[in-house]
Parts: sequence; C-alpha cells; structure tokens
Amino acid sequence: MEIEVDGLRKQYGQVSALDGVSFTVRPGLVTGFVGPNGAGKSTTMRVILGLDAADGGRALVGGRPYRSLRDPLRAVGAMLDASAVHPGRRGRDHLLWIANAAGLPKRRLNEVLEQVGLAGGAGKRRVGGYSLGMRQRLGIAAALLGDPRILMLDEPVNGLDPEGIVWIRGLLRSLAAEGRAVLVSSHLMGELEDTADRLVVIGRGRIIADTSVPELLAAASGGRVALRTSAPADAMAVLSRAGGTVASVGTDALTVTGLGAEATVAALGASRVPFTEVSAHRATLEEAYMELTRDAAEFQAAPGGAA
Amino acid sequence: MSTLLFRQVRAEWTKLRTVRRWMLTLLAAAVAMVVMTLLGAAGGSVQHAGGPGDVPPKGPDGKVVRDAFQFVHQEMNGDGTITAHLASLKSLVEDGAPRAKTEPWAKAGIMVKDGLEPGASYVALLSTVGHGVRLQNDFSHDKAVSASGAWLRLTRAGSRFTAYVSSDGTTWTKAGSVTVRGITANAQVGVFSTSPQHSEFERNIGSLGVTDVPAHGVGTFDNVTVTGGIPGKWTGTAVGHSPVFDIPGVGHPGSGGGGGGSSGVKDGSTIAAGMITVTGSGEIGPRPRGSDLVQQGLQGALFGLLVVVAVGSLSMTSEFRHGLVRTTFTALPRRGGVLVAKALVLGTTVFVLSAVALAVAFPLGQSKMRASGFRPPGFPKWGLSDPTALRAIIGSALLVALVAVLAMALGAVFRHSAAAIALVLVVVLVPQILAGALPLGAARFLLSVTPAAGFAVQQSEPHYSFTSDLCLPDDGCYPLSPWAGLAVPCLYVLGAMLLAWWLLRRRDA
Repeated sequence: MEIEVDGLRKQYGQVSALDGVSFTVRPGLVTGFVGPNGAGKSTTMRVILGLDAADGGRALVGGRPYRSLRDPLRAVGAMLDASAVHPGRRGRDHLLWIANAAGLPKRRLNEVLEQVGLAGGAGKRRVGGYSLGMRQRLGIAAALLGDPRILMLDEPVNGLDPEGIVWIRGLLRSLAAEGRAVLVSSHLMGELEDTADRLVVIGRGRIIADTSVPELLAAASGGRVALRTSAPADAMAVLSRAGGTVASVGTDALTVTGLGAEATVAALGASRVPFTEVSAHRATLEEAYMELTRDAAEFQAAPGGAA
Repeated sequence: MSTLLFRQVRAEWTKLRTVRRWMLTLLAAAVAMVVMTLLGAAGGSVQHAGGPGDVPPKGPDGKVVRDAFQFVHQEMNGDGTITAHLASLKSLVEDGAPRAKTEPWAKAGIMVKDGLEPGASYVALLSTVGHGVRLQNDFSHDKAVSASGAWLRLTRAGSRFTAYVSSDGTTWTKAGSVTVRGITANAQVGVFSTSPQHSEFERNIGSLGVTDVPAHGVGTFDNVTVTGGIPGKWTGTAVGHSPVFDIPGVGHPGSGGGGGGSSGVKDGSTIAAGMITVTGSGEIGPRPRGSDLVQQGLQGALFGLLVVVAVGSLSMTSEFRHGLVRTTFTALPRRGGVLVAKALVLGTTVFVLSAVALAVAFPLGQSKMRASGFRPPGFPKWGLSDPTALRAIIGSALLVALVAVLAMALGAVFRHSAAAIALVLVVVLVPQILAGALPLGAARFLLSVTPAAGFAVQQSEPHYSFTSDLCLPDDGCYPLSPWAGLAVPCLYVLGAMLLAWWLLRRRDA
C-alpha cells in the first residue's frame, strides 16, 4: 500500500497553501517530508486523510481516496497533532474510543501502550497531566492501533527527550522494515538525516526536491571546494579569472564553485597565491535543505515584492 | 452499514462516559431536576373553601367538567329527530353600558342529553355569537360545522347522531355526525342557551388583571319539533346551577354562571305561541386549567435542561477546541454518521437520566403538594400510573434530551460552546420570559413557534380552544397540544442537525 499525491492545490483566500504538490510514499521506506513551518506539510497530510478538501489534484491511499476506505485505521495510522486529545480523558480511554470506532479488539490497547512505552500507570492517568513527550507517545500509540500498512506522523520528534528521539528513530526504521510505508514530517532536516530513506522537500506549497538522501547531498555539494587562504582577495581574483564562482564564508575561508579541487589548486599554484587547505566540500543535509528552501523563498518573494 | 453505525455509537458513548466532568455535570442535572421539582412543589398552598358539596361534576370520561345552562326539554325515547329554528341569539353582558359588549362564546342550540344531571353525556348542535355553528359532545369534543345557519336539526339513530344545518328550513345540509354511546334510550331533548362570563384582561410585565363580568345567552327559537318523543310537554330546567365551585389557582374566580346577576337579567325560559325563549348562563365544556399539578410537579425539568445544554454543546465543541475532530473523522470518515451517533448517544443518555430523575421526583412532589392542600376532591390525585402523568414525565425527559441534542448540533455549527449555549438558551428561555410581557397574541405565537412550545407536553390538560377560557402564559398555559408542542423542538433539532451535517461535510476539519 502506498500514498499517491498528484497535483494537489489548495487556496486559503489569496494564499496558495498547496501549489501542485505531487509525490509518492512507498512501502518499506521512511519518507521524510520536510520544509519550513507553513510550507504545506500539515495541509498535505490533512488532504491525504480526507480532512481537508483540495481545490485540485488528488490524494490516493492504496489507490482509493481515504474517505472511501472501508477500514481506514487498518490502512493508515496517523498522528497529526499530539495535543489533539481531551485533557479530561484517561490515556487508555482515548485509545479505547478509537479502537471502538475502528472495531478493534481491546487487547490492542495494551499492545500499543507497551509499544510506545506507556505501559503501567501512565495509561490510567488523565491526559491533562501528560508531558508533551507522553502525549507524543500516546498519539503514536493511537496511530499504531489499527496495525496499519501506512504510518503518517506529523512532527513526531517534537517534545521528545533525547532518549525518545532515539526510540522514535528506531521505531520508524523497524516499521519500514516490516514493509510499511512511513511518511514522517519535520521542519528540521537534521532530525531525519539518519532515519529517512527518501526526502520530499516542500517550500511554499511546492515540491522542491523528491530524492534519496545521498542524491540530495551530492547535488547540494555540487563540485564545491572549500578553500582556506591568508590572501583571500588575491585568491578571489585569480579564481574568478579562471572561471570559478567564489564566495567568502569567513575571514580566510572561501567557497569555490565551478572549478573542482584540482583546477583550483592549479590556478592558485600558477599565480602563487598561498593557501593552507583545499578540500572538496561535503554538504550536510541541513545545508542542502537551507539552500533549497532559500531558493524557494526567493522565487516566491519576487512577484510578491513587485505587486 | 449497521456495524458502522454500531461502531460510531460505541465510540461516541466511550467518548461521553470517559470525560469525568461531563458525567458529573449530567449527574448534577439529574439532582437539579429532583431538587427543583421538590422546591417547586413546596411553593404553593391552598385552602379548601367548601365541603364535599363543591365537588365539580365529572364528564363521561371521568374528567371534571363544567355543565351549566338553561334547558327546555322533553323526553325522547329511542331514535328521533329534533328540529328548531334559532330566530335570534343575543349575548347580554352585565356591564355599565348595556348591550355594549358581547361574549363571542354565548351560545344556543339543540341538544340530546342523557338526563339532566350535570356531567351527563350529550350531543349538541349549537350556534355561537362569534364562532359559528358547532357540533359538540361530551364536553371535550368540538367541531366547527358551519359558519352560519339558523335552522338546526339533530337526528338520533342508536348511538349515531347526525347534524343538519339549513338557512331556510327546507334545504338541509348534513353538517357532521358523531357516535356517542353514553346516552341511554331515554334521553332528554330540547333547546338550550348559555353564556360564559365575559372576561376582560389587562397585561403588563409581571402582572395580569382579569375582570369577569356575568353574561347571559338569550336564544329565541320557533318551529321546534321533536319526532319520536312523547308529544308535547316542554319543561324548563337550569342544569348544573346549584353548587358553585371556584377554580383555585386561577386569577379569575368564576361564579360558574350563578343564575343571574345584579342587573336584573334572569336566567329562565318562556314558552308562548310556538316561541321558546331561553336565557342561560354558564359554560358547557372541560374544566378550565387551574393549578396544573402535573406541570407544577415537573418544574425541575427546566433546571435540568439548563445544565445539560452545557454538556450537549461541549460534547461537540470540545472536539473542535482540542483538534480531536480530526482524529474522529480519520477513524470515522463519514461525518454525517458521527453526527447522528453523537445525537443518539447524547439524546439517549440525557433522556434516560431525565426520565429517571423526574420519575423519582414526581411522586415526591405530588405528595408534598397534597400536603399543602392540593388534594382531592378539589384536585386530582396524580401518580406514576396515570397515563397523563406518565406522558408528561416521558415528554419532559424527551424535551430535555432534545434541547441537549440541539445544543450539540449548534455546537457543530458554531464550533464554539459559548455561542451554541447562548443561542439555545435564547430560543428556549427568552420566549417564556417575553411571553409574560408581550400582548397575548404575540406571546401565544412565540410559545407556538419556538422550542419553548415543547413545554406544552408537561400540561395535564391541553388548552381547549372552543371555550372562552384564556390560554394565558401567566398561568403556564402553552397553546399547543402536548405532542404537537413537543414536535416543535423536534423540528428545531432536525433543522440544526441538517445544517450541522451540511457544514461538517463542507468545511475542512
């Protein structure tokens, strides 16, 4: 079972929240859904779950619209908002009504509570007294209740302590390893670096990148060279003449694009510009993401500024 | 499909019962219903003015009635026909300016009655001053049969009575027929006339002044013929005029038509040269609403209703407030089904709770009221086994449940509990407050078209529109019949549910 999102559009008044969003969430993989706050991640997830209506395009779950699924909770387990619980209800009762709604047996309650680490007394307490981390775990428990083929978690790492973060990474990996499709969103790329197999990057309602993690890193590093020199002005002049694009990233540090490490060293050597270090730049996921989303922001800002 | 509804209902029931505050509030509503019923029952007191002689007559169905009129009659054995021409019908109101006022319910006509005892079964075809020609029987049955028609005819065939009306005495139109089994073969037939007191009232906010003026109906008949009877002898009788009983609790003590007043008009009859003139006063009909012990014994329902409105609206708005509605619609994508399940669960829970609370409170309240003087023979004794009391209790519980569901549906419309609660209270309470201040017509309209009309279900007696009795909101009278009244909040619930359903489907969750 997979999620297929095809050309989703949604307008809130004048603001275009989704502007032709298309991607696929495949079984057996953790798909990271990243973008800055307000980029359209949650809106996309709500549309997939049939909660919000799209103005255009479609979102299919296992080939069908969510609202036409016979047993939706056995197909998709979702956590959109960990605080979406009634504070006066016990954690276990919160799961109980969902189980009743989905026609699931009561034993699932204990199973998922154990799975998320809320076994013991926590489930018998009222949710109003839960920490954010506990609510997060309860929300994940609710998503797991129907033993679904697809998991969809919106910002599940939020509010978790370091131990919890390690736990959820392991959980996501093992769920994917069981052949489930996992879609997990975050506004911090770093959170997904070691977890996601694929990344769908969204900015201002558009998909900026839909790729695997190594591909994204390679693209972001794109032949850049980091250079450390005591004569940055000379180096900039020489390298520009040689056809590179040079950016200053510190008092004695430069980034060169378009030449490669070898040509850079050759050009510097020929002009006798001193340098202490030349290295092919290895971008972090975070940097790649920053670059992508910055572009998206600039692209969107121009027409708005002109108007 | 049915398993889906089962799941929806089960999920909603789990939701409702697992929020402790809601359950405590519902319990508080039940307690409020019991306590306020008992407090309401302790409110009044009554002293019996007279002895056992004041027992009002009872009609064929056992209910107390009014039965006072002037009757010129003879015996008719078995089947037969009485025909009369009502030459004139006048209403004499004993007021300062003579003949200035008329009582529209002054009436005269022909009657077949099972003897002369007040409360005896009868059929009458009568003309009124202001409400046309009517066929009435056994006090609580009335049918307007014709706008006018001076010639009246009533034919008996066994227990079947057929009425005819004519304007000229030759061309007769069948006006209607009734089956009345309570009239024995040996019946009294004749012409009669009577008039209830003429009431004038003045209403201001919080005060009501009613002035009752004695009035007489004067009917002049000619061409009175009876076939099938023993030919001949007319006798005049004032039916039901001896003991006068007051209607406790009503602002206007009635003299019951005590046989003439001070101005010289005397009830009676004259027979001369084929003309029969009958002058009578009184009323033939159900006993007017006095203190309605059933209604007074269910006052707690209103207070319970105020409390459950909060739970009703919160059960829906809390879903929006906490974003829980997304979890709900993810688990159960059919939003209309969720709405129906919520209504079923909430309505059933509140109904059961209210029915139990009121069934507990009612007998306690009744015994309390009996202790303060509201007891037989002046007042009926109500218990849980009386169908009327049971109807009022069940109806009150239904009303409370309907209002809770209304609050829930409006919660889905507004997605905000304050707005939903405010609107429910406005449509349920404000009409009752305004009814005391507005002109009578407007007040009655308000109590017929707003959900407040549902309180009619608490009345042990409906308001009978074919008598001169006023349906005064000040007396707690709701103009509609019990079930028709309850249908009004039902329609509001239906409307709110449809609107909520449409909006839930249309809006993003």
